[in-house]
Amino acid sequence: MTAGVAVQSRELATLDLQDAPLGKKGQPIKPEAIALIELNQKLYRLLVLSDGGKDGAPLVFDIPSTP
Amino acid sequence: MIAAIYRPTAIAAAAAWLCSAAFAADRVAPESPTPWQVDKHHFVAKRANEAFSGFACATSGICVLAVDEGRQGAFMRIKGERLVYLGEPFEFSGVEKELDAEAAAFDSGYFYVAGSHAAKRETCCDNSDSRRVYRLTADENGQLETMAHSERLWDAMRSLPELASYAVPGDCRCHRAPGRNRIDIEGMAAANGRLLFALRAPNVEGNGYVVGVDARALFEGGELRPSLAKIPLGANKGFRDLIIADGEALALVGPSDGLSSGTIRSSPYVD
Repeated sequence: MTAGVAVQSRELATLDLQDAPLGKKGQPIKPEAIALIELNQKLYRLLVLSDGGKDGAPLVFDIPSTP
Repeated sequence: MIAAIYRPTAIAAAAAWLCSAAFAADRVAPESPTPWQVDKHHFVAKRANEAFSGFACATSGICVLAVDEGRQGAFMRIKGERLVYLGEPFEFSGVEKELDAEAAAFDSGYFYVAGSHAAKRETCCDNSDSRRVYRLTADENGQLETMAHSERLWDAMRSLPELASYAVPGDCRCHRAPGRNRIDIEGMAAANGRLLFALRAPNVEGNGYVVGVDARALFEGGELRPSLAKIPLGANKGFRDLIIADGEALALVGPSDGLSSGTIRSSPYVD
């Protein structure tokens, strides 16, 4: 079988950007990139970079590994 | 040969991905609403500092940054809660105007940066510069060592029957199919010799797509073994990024029209 994404999906979280900084023109930033910076049995610690934010507006989110 | 390289098993396996995600996931706020500091650095493109679009780190701590304005990228390092540039931004070779770099990944000693392979979003005009994937190496100080590029991914996507009608170069006609629903790469993951390209568009009847190819063959020749995963996301949604972490494929999914917000979804990664 070709390697790839597979079955049994889960939606883990919605990123809450309500208090995140806005872009230069006052527009909401748009998350575009994720990088894993830590992993344990309970969560994924993700660095999220956003388009429209100053220097990517890097924010850290702790995403639970189970919904 | 198209039938031979089209991988129904991969489609079938992935078709159920995210199916169980019909419920509303919890909202997760950032650890702090104040972004990490990023060292000042000047890209040639004016708006590059507000156009970070891809980021991937090696186990060494060196990371590559993709920017969707201009034709430069950069290596960085995470230092505490700061992002520090390593040297000057570098130029992607052979790009005349704009790579529209939208995705980055790392695997087995190589950094990868992919152009969107998309037409201009506002005008639907062509951007042939974007139909490139780069493979980079960096030395221990984060200085660019080698750079190779491939233009084979476009033809691989065109060879997949389900995607072929969306793999259409820009023609400045947004009002005519496929309009803004043309192929648009936004994320990329790499693992075990495969590159997985997560598409923001097309979204067809609520489904998003992930295209896989053999990473080495993309740059050195040989059979690409393209695969296609068709994934229910809901109407007007597309992938923004994809990573492989400890056997799981984690996806950032958002509105395909470019509006804010996003969800994190996971699925086992099949090796």
